[in-house]
Amino acid sequence: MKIKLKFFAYYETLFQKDEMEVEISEHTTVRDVFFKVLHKNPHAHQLFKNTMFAVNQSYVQSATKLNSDDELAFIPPVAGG
Amino acid sequence: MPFKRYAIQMKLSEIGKAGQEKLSLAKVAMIGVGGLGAPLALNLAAAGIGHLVLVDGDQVSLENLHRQVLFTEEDIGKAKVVAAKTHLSKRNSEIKISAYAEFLSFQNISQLLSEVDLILDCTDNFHARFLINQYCVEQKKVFVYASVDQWRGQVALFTPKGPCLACLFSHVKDGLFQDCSQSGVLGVTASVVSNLQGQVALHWLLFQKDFSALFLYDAKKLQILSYKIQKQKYCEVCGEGVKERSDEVIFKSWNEVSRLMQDAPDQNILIDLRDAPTDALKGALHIPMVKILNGATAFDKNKTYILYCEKRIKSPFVREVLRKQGVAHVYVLQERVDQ
Repeated sequence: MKIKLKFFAYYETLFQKDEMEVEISEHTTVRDVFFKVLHKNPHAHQLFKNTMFAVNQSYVQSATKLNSDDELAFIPPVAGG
Repeated sequence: MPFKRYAIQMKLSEIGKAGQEKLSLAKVAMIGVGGLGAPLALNLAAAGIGHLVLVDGDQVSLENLHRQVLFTEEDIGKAKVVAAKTHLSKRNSEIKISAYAEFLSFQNISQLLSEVDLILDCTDNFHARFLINQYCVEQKKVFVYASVDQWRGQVALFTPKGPCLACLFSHVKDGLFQDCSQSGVLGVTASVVSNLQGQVALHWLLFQKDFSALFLYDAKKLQILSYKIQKQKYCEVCGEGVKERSDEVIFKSWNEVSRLMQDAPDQNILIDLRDAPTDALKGALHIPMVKILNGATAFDKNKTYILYCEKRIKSPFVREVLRKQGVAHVYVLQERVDQ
């Protein structure tokens, strides 16, 4: 099944795009998707701990299982002010 | 006529005289008078917030002026809060403004913020943001978080019923994500985000409106998105502690700690961080948190430390501080100890 990833701030810069589609299997969690798309990033674990995840514009925990056509957002904090 | 200068905003049926009186009685602290704080201070002073408390240890510099529109060229080199107070007082002489030319720290936070109704996080670093968050959770205060970087901004209101900032983001280390002075920002983008923060702040002061949302501003798309947020059971600041997001074990039970202290009392040190405990914690060294943060205590990097405080709010914070000092084995005593 397909889901849509939405990238904000740091992740938008990292992936050079603000959204993309990924194919996932049943029972895939938010955490699984995060590490799938960031598997090459040496800071993935640190980033994971500091990222808010939202499915269909609502906060979710990383153990949440995804459904077809969900929109999963990676929202990092923004530092400046 | 009282409140004549506010007549146009008082025409809004939701505000009126009663709303304006609420604003004139409010005491609001702004932590940071920079890219977010400087434009916001202008609007809050103009709106008639009765008492503004400005906290910032920085001075005005030339490269501030493109976005910190409160300041002028004559202010360069002056303390931001002093220059801000001068300008704001000229715009509204009916309000009170307190200026503190110092950076927020564990040492001064209580003295500066204990009597304010609302705190506005206009800082530019995570250390200060999490300090404000920690203090607000502990003291049941309300704060509005805002941040801006390049073309993006974030705003959220945090109240004692939760969630808190750490529910969304664990303790972020500075440097992991850049700040706007390093990666660039337009003055108008910072102003839009700061005014969104001001809008949320006024909604709280006037109507006690809690959006339970993180607002994301995208200056390229001219879009404001709202994401629903909720309290995390295992939040390390307002909840039961880290469980879900970290694979790292940071908690130890009282049974585990007792066993460790029996097996190797010289190697495993239990520290009671409470300020003035009425009951001594068995086998613990009593070192109030403030002494550790002042650097008044030396730690042996080869030993294991277990931290205790009543509500498990101080312990995770001190753990981070010690880990940054290179002390690798630091744990938090999990359960409350009633002896």
